[in-house]
Amino acid sequence: MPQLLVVDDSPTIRRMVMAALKVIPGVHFREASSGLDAIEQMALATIDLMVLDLNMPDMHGLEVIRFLRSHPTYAQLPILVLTTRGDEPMRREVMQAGGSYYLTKPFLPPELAAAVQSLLVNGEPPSGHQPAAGKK
Amino acid sequence: MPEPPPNSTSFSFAEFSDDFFAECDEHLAIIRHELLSLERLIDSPLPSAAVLGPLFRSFHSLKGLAGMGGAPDVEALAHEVETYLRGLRDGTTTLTAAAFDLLLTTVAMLERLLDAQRQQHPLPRDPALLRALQDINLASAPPDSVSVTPQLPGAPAPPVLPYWQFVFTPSPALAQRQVTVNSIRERLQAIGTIAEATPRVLPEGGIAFEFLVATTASEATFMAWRDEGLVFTAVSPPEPSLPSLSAPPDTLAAPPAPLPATSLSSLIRVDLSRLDSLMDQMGALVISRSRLTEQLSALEATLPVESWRTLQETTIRIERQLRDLRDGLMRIRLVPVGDLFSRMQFIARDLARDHGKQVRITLVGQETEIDKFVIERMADPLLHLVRNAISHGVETPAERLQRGKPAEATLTLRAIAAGDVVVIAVEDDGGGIDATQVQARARKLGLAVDDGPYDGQQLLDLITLPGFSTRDQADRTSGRGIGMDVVRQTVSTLGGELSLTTRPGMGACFRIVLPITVSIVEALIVRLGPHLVAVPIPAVREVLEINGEDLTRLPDARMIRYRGQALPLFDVGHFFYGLPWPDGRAYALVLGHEQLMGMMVHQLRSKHEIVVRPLVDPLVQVPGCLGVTELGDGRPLMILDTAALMQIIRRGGVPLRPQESVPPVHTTDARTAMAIPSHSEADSFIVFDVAGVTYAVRSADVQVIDMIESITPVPNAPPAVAGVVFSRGAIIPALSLRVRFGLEPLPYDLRTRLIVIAHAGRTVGLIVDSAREFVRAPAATIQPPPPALGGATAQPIAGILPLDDRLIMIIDLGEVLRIDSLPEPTTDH
Repeated sequence: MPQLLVVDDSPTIRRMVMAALKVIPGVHFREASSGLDAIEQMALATIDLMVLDLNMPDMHGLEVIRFLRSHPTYAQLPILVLTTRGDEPMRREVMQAGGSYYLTKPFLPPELAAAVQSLLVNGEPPSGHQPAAGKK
Repeated sequence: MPEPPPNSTSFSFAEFSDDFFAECDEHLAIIRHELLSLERLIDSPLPSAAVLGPLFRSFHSLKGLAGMGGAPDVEALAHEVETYLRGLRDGTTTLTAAAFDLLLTTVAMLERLLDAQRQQHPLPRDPALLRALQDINLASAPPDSVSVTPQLPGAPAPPVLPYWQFVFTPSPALAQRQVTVNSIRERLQAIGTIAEATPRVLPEGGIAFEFLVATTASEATFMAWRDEGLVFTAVSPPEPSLPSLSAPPDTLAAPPAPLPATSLSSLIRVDLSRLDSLMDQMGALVISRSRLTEQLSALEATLPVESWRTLQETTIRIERQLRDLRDGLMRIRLVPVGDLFSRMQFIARDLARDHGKQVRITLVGQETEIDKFVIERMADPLLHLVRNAISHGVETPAERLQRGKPAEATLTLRAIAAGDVVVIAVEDDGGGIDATQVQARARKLGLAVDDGPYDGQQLLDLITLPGFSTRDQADRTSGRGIGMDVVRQTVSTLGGELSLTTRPGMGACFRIVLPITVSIVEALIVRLGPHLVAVPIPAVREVLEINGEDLTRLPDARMIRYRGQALPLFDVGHFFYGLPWPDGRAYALVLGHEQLMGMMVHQLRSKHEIVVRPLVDPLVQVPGCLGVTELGDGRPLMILDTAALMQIIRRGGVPLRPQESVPPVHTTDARTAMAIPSHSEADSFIVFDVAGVTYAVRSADVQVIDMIESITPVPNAPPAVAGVVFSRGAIIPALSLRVRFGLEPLPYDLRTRLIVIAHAGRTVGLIVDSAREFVRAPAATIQPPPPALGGATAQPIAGILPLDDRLIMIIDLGEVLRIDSLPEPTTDH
């Protein structure tokens, strides 16, 4: 029973993400509205994968990734970054910091679900390669 | 290019559309608020991050939401603004007046786009706007905006306060007690300013959060928090250059800024319809309690004194608890007027620019709270007043200078709470309202208007006549404009009062007095002849007993002495029911907030909390009635609309209709509802008699057939309208088909029936002599009405159904309910 943490400061987007990922068998969700909130939930619960927004009021998503990667427990946690920032330099920075996959909003629900499922099952993104971020 | 919205996939966007629009609205409200503080920074080199941060984040969130919500136009505009704000932050561009205007236009456009999408209207298009935004971004864009190191400039030097370091270690036990990083952060925000908030890895592998807080609070304040896993130590202030959370490229975090998303976490968003249904249940509870009280007083004679008193005490306690519950519910509905005001400020700016006028807009009392229902209904009226003030009230800069006034005019929007009412004022220092122009226009419309000097109230009475205010030419959103008549009507429907003061050359001020909440009011139940009516207590200043010696009779009016003044007395019993002045004792209710008037009533009965039920059907929408209510006995009771009555009186009063006084009808028989076959179809009919002729209506249109239980007459309604009744909890008009067909009414007897029909969105009861049966007939047997029948007797017949040896007239419901085809009352208004 995979448990996912959906991190976004927009409650609507969180609901949309969860609606898109409902298709994953046995999936459970926890939600966080900020970076600190996300890190606390990581400490308190067993999370199998994090869907992470970048631009949040208290802590940038990049900071959240860097912090989690600095901690041995979370070094392997699949982190799927889901952001409105569609530029290539940001994508590169996220991947260098330790993001597992990079998707832009608006996302296609099947694409998000496929990526999450692949990360959960194989520990790596679908078809092994990362699509280039759409130029905005 | 944005990707296509996810429409053909596993979820439909419609599911989220309420959330989507609600969240977009929240961001727009933040944007409007923040933009206005940005205006002060025009042409200053580096706007502070404290201002830019929330603005930037809201545009960013809006862009993300719009992308998901299938609003590519919103997404594209928000994206350009975000880029522009990034340029501002990075210092590659400065804020010019032109760019600021462009931002305002963009926000207005975003609002219109979202509005159109919400209502599924065609989207407005303005490609030039997007191009203009792209152009200023192109002009200022650095080669690679991402590589620019963020600056956090302009933040005011933090005052030197004692700093404390707090370390919070979360645990499942604490989380269960709701002690989490979010709740701790809120506590710390309440006592000071959080300069830093950082996660830490503890030596044994756990996680903790460190907060650096500037606070003047004493240690005793947070001593008790130790029990909740919070460790604190006093520290020296951080180096000024230390960035709070090494700000990554896109955060624009302002170091000591409060953290809005989480500080809002104690708020919940409630669907207004849920709140409304709670209010309805509350209303039902109030009615049940009245019933209980009534039944209890009936028992007083038969019960032992002690038992009766205990019961009495309990109902009094219930009453008090109900009032507390109601107040609590009402408080949930209260929202600050600030958002509405800042929206007005926006429109005012735009409008002033279009008219070449300089207007400074001042907002006062934005935090004043008022019922959300009231706020929503006041948006258009307020907008109309603001538009009027700018397009007609305020002069051009040249004219103002000529008059010795500063070139820049001031428009003030003010809200003040005063007890149970909120006063909203729209005040300008423009030219005032030109009385001669208003009088001239009134004459042109054929109104008898004298030349005498008119005060604000008299002018208001003229300009709020329907059709008086011409639709504003300068009204750019054509078709959306409303007239002054609608402004006044809206205020009146909400139980408020509109007034005007104007001084030529000095300006005008519209004041709106509104109740803070609506729907349940305390009312005085008074008797007028045989009729009981309710008068909302907020409208009543004082109750006087009328003594013969205080009463002055003039040929066409009566006055009484009140506080050394002559108070005109309005005979509402005569106006409504054609009653004569009573011989014995009578009372005067002193009404009005600013202009006082007395209203004579025959007797005071009781004080009640009543639920206001509006009269929605056009058949029973009469001037002077706010709606109806019920005291627990199932009988509708009219509620007087004192503001509308005062307006009628000030206009000289509608000629009183000498109407025979019809006492309310009560038959004590229990209602016997005739069951309507559940498989009602277009070819089945309910057959009934009126004056010996057999008629029918389609049973699909019939809700229920009742006996006539209790009809409350509606004053000044068309004669065919016998009054209003309760049917299945709704208040509906009862239409006498006899009178409707030009015949004399018959007294109701055991055979009289009320056929309740639902047709074209209206529910109306038809009073018929008797209802006979339910018949089925194939549609093919229905014959068209002979032309003579339709014309000569003016009976609205849709067809004729020959059945056995009878001819049955099928009623044309659309025609029978048409208000303009009803025989008119003899009054003119």
